[in-house]
Amino acid sequence: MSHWVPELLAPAGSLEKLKVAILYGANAVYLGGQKFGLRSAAENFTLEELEEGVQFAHERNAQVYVVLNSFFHDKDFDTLGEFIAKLEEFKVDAVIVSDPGVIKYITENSNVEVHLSTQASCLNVQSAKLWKKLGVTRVVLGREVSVAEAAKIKKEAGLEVEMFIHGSMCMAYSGNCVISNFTQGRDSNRGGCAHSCRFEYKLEGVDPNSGTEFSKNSFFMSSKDLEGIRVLPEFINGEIDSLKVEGRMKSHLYAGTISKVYSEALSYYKEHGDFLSDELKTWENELTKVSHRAYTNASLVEPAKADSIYDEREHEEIEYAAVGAILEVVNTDKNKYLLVEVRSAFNLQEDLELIPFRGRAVEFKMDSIKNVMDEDIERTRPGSLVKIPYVEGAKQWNLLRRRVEQ
Amino acid sequence: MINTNLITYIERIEDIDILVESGVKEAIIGTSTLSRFGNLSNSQAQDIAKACKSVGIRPVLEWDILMTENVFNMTIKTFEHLDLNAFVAIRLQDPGAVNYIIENYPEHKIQMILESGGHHNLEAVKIWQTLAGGNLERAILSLELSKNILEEYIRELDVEVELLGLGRILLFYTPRSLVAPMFGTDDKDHKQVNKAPIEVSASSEESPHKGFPVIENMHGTFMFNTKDIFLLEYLDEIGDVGLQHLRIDLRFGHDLSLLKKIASLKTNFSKEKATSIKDEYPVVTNRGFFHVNKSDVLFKKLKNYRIQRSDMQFIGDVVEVNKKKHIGIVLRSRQNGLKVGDSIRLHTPDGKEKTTKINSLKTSAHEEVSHAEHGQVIFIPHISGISVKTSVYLDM
Repeated sequence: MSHWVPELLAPAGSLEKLKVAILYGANAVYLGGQKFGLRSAAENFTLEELEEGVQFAHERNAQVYVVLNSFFHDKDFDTLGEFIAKLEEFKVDAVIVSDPGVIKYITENSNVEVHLSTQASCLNVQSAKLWKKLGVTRVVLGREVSVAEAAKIKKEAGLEVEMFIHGSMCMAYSGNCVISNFTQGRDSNRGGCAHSCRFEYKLEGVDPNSGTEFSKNSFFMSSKDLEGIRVLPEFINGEIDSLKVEGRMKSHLYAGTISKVYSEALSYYKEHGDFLSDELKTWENELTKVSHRAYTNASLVEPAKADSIYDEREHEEIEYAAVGAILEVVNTDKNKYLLVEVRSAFNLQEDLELIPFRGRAVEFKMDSIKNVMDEDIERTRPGSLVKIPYVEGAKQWNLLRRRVEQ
Repeated sequence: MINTNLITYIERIEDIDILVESGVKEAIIGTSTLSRFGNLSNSQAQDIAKACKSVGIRPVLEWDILMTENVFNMTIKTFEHLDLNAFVAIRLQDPGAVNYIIENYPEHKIQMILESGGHHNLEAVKIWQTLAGGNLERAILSLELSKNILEEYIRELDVEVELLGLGRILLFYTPRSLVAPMFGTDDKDHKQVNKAPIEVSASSEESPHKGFPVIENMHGTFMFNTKDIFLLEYLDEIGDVGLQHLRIDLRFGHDLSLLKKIASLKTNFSKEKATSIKDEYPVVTNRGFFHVNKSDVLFKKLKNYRIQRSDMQFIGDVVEVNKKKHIGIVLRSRQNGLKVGDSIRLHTPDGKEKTTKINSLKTSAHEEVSHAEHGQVIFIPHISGISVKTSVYLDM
């Protein structure tokens, strides 16, 4: 018997990350074109990459959603029509929009489905009903909404609902923070967020308890990262349609690892109807192996409390680093090796792990490294190709990682 | 005479006289459950509203909090106990509140707060006219819209427009409690009622601006800009663009009597007079984006457009360069393979362009091949000046 599970929606900051996310198990990806998104500094997709990405995804039964979630200025509409026509031609599955003007334009001028971005901070049934009137078919709910509330919104508004399950979080109601706009001249809602909420602030005032002067340094506006693997049963019981992972700016290792962990957990449920797997600890452990702040389940179960504040200076908590991606698996009578694109340096005799698309990571010792001229080398350098011994089960685009010495 | 109406907040019944003396014709009234910074009970709000009406001031109820589903349901329980007839209109921001009013109280006028969210284009503003129909009496627009844009919107919209002319600029709004945990006051009064908010000042070494006012109350935590908006020096320009309503926000401990001086600018405007009011105002101010908004001009500098794949002749990109020996290219395009005899163009990340003819193609196993396809890694003889991440195109 197969049990229903939600869609797993992963970030695709580039065409390569799209492929990684889908190959590692995501059912859907979201990505940005060169304009209209909130990640100005991300590589994003050219039209050619977008077309190829959609083909790649659809061949593997995965969906592609394109973000148009910046707050539009009037001049932006001049080129929107052309872009939407291309998205229709490429058979993109939906666009993610935060601006009511854009929703109106797209629903009146195309047949592309419109999902409401979390930037619109849809938080309640009545709000969802209003967006439905405008032609939206799915709402990406604000991160302040609990799973139980989301289930009610879905049921009473009659819309698909999507919720974030993993990744960095805005502390503010999304779309309601303009710190960068007024302090740095960068429009945060058009892709220029300067992450002022991650700064350390000196707070001064009067202690309301003692009435005395108070001064303290704190990262009081910085949120811990969302992690919802333990909340999966609630998501399923609530019939939440799609579980979204934040992180279009994040690495290939992040896109691959998060997609793999959550898709394996959902696959397990699909087969067994529960999460009583011996792998649960492994899945949780894997989530600690990508760059992240301390985790919280934020407001997924009940409103986020003080322990959801990440009161630390920003630093990468990296237990593992991506060292490369496998570009070729050569397994012939004459040759047997993996051709690896090196992303960060590794050494001969180092212990590495290959992350297969399914199943546990394969540990192996790097007992031979050759450059592409077949000369033995002892240390690799980023931005080069090397040949390493064949590892059983390796496939093109598998990622390699190594433990980082703390 | 400048025809723009001045509107303001009223928090105490005793302040009605100042409003009357200032010629203010409309007052915003906030209750602690519906308004972010309101501190009135339902009955106090109703009393003030009735008193306003009796002296010809339009009382407007403010319901500007954002609400998750559970908060929404708790809020409407209080809302349903309000005598809405005491008010002439309701100011709303949460689209859920808008829908609720449209469906349950269709006879009440709505003033739509469009100061945040995706309301920086005319179509987005007009949609609220369509949704609320004749119930929408006003659009309260964003401070990020510059004067020229405001002028166009005022001309194009069928509803009146309001802008904040003086007061704090809200930068950040979260329902989370961010300051109280430092005092261990999770269950104190400020969580129960809105009368005793915590207010602190926040400064960061990472920002040149010091002393952001931060307020925490039962609705969450709010951060304001270090400088308040002050547009009164441009009241003549505001009048010229036809703005119907300018909001003067003297909450947060400011002296409401300043309102009389501000109101006098309407009949006897001069920049000097406005500047003297600014000098008297206790907080440093600025004009925000009133004259120009260039907050998205930096974006083009945030990434390297040279490495973007730009046309259908794209083949792939360079993943290895071994000087005087070879260049490794991963073929990423599904449309275009590469064969011996092809001419290629290489666009380097630093903007150089080179062309060459392919005389030799080798695999990673050093086998000579005549052509290569999507997904393969292929090696061609070294070309000087080429680096990793160079984009490779067929030169047709």
